[in-house]
Amino acid sequence: MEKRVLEICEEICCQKISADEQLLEEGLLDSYRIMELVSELETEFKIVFMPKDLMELENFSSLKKIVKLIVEKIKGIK
Amino acid sequence: MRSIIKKEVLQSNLIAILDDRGNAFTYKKLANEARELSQFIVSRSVIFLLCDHQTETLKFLYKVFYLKSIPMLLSADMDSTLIENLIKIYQPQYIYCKKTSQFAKKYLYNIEFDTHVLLKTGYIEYPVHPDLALLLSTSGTTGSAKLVRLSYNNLYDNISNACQKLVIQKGQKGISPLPINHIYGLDFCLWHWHCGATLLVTEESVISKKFLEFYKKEEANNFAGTPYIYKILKRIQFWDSEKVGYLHVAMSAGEQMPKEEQKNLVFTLGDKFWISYGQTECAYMISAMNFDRNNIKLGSVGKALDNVKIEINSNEELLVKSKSVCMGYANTIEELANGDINQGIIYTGDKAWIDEDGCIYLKGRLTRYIKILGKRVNLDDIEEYLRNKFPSREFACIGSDNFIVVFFTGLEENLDKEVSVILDRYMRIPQKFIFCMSLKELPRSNTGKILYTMLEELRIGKTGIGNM
Repeated sequence: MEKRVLEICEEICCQKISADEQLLEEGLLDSYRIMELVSELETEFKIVFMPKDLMELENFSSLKKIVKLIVEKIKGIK
Repeated sequence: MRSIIKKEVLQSNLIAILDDRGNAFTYKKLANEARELSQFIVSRSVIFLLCDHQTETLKFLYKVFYLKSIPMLLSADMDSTLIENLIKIYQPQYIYCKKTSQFAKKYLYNIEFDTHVLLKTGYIEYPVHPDLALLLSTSGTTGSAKLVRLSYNNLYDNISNACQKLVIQKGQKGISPLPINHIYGLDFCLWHWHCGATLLVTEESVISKKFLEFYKKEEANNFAGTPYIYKILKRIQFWDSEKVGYLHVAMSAGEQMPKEEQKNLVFTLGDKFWISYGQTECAYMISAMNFDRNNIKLGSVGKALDNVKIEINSNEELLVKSKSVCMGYANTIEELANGDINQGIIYTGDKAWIDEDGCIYLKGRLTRYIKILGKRVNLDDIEEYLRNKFPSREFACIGSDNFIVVFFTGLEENLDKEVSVILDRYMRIPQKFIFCMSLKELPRSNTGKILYTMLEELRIGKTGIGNM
């Protein structure tokens, strides 16, 4: 799954990224791209992000955090 | 030269700017700071302002208007080669940017602020027209050198009329995530400052919890966004009864909002929801309208402001007659000395029709300008940019709101991907809106002109892109 999330993130950020890359701090993800990412991830992993997931921007700050959130969504924790 | 801010506001103790760290700046304080700044700025100089959404930048912008220097507003995110090109052409005396900007290493510090700096370029002053108040690019994303020249009277006329229409007044607070280097975002600031209202400033993303918390804490009355921003707000269920309770105006503009979205917002926000239409060349607002739940003019961009006369010519083009119409364009520094060439009349390049109540409905464009996520993009600039990047190729672009089709010659693999990535990275046009098609050669007329109508047919025939 991590590999697929990486591919989606790279596609949306238009560049290669590493697992620890700070996507928000480095300006790779703005609000428009977050929404694009969310839409792609929801389709790919058949999950639904709740408003609180989206508004907690820390969830999208790095690849690791995004993967963690998806895992929690799949497991039904969040 | 007329002040954009009402006289009674300029020295008042009303709060002009309030940020999310609790810093408040009164109009009087900003006036005092502006007077101090005047020691470091030559009167009527041209200043490139690399815009972000920080308090320091908003303060600086206010002070530049106060001192009647001439700001040219550019996005701090713009590709630096595009900015350098504009510096070469317009030779500004000063550049305002973040200390971390690459330009801060290139020019001498004139005055330092907290996180920003005003740089002195060394270019000498040159004649500018006494009425010139503001310079904005016709296509900011692409770094076009064609600028719109707006006067103090243009701005005053438009802002005062917009405030009257929207009933913006002191005591109100407004917040918007719109970039201030675009006329719509800038005007939102100026509406509030003109009347002595408060501008709420945050760098937080509109999608973030921090933005929401600041909005709620300050009970913002006025909000401005594009249809896309409203889409984000809907996704995060932003509009609840509490926020609607203290809302005065929620404005959407920048591009056409889908009718269904418009309808939903009217039912959520009632008559607090406004749609407006404008252009940089008209100091923004041409028309605006809020909605009655029982009589929703779906698809309309509202009625012309009181001071704006509109006509539709034989080409179905919307013509605007108003004191807000800009003085003209500039392509060189010499043209910054020019007076009012437009004389209050402008052809908008938008095809439109007007119903029996005077409501305007847009039908499409006659010009080569399109809008992507509310930002105006000149297709000719895109072509030129790509030709410079790939000199051995030919490029032609067509498009409409929210899509661009790039045709290029040759069948090299991956060029389409490369083009999309370049436009996304350097011009901030998301890849989702870019479609590429390779052709053996571009269709041309006998005189060598690109036949855009044929490209349009190709687009429809082969891809259906943009068909709704």
